[in-house]
Amino acid sequence: MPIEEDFTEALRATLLRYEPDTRSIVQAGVRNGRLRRRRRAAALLAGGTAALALVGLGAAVVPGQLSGRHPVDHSLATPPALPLSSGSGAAPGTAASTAAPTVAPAAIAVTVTNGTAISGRANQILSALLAAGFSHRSVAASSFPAAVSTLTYGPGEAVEAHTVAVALGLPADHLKQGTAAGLKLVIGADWTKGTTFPGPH
Amino acid sequence: MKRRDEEEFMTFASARSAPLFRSACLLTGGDVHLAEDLVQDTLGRMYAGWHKISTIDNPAAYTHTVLVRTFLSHRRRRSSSEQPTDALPDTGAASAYDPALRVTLLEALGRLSARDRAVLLLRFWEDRSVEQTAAILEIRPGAVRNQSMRALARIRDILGRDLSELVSS
Repeated sequence: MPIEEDFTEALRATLLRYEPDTRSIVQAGVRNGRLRRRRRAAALLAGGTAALALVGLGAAVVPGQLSGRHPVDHSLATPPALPLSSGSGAAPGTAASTAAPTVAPAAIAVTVTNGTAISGRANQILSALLAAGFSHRSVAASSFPAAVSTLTYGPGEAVEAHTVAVALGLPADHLKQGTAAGLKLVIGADWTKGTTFPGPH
Repeated sequence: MKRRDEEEFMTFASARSAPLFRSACLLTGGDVHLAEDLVQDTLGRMYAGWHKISTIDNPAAYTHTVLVRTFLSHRRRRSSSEQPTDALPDTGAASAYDPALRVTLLEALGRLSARDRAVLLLRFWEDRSVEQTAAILEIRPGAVRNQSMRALARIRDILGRDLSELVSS
């Protein structure tokens, strides 16, 4: 087996054992976020005050400088813009839902793994699923090479699996029931392009 | 933050904290305390910018990008703080894998540079393409290819046959 696959599998064996204390980590994250907001608000206020001071100064010394100063002060007072790259170059949202699902997509989380030789496939499909309203608990990961794309679902999850299959145009014979709970989509060598399954339906 | 946004954030954060934590563990070479700090910091950034972030099409991928960038800037701030980890959490989960090997892989990762770990994380754990990895790390795609090849070769050198043992067990 190539080292890349060994490595990914070794990571899986290693990292999946790590479970954080979700509750405390989220609470700490919220505290951290509130602090950031307060700091940002304070910086805005301070920036505003500084701008006023400069306005005063400019008016007192060189009145003509006033208009030239303002954009600089403004940029200082504005919090740095977030780089809003989605982390995915995939065009989202082409998956069409034709059947009316009885489970809302937002309640369905899918683990998408890439079994193709093309990197980034799992994230492309994940982006499409998220754009189609599926749960943010969905994740993408690397995987073993797979020839055939399959969607494995746990006991009692047939409706959820069907909803996902419809969204992706995945034929019913690619669905199979497993013993473990949770929806696992493996992107195989039969699906190397696009976010809708290319095979005959 | 509005109550609805707050609830939405809490759902998102609760769902993402475990995957973020695992990625953070890889980045820190198994330092779980630093990994927790990183996740908290990342979630804090998400919270502070949530009104913008919640509208992008893949907030989860974006969050992981922020995690990696936070980690690398963190490393720049305290670059001399590399500490070999000795305390790994015993999660007690049933596993066929030898915990000793688990530690070995993280130790091997811990001996790489921070950027090497970031490249390996993005390419082989989060399934990002070379181009996406390049964009996140702000380096050229060619550099991503070289770096991931070199880093994998080092892991193989450090672990020797342990890597395939870990997989085949």
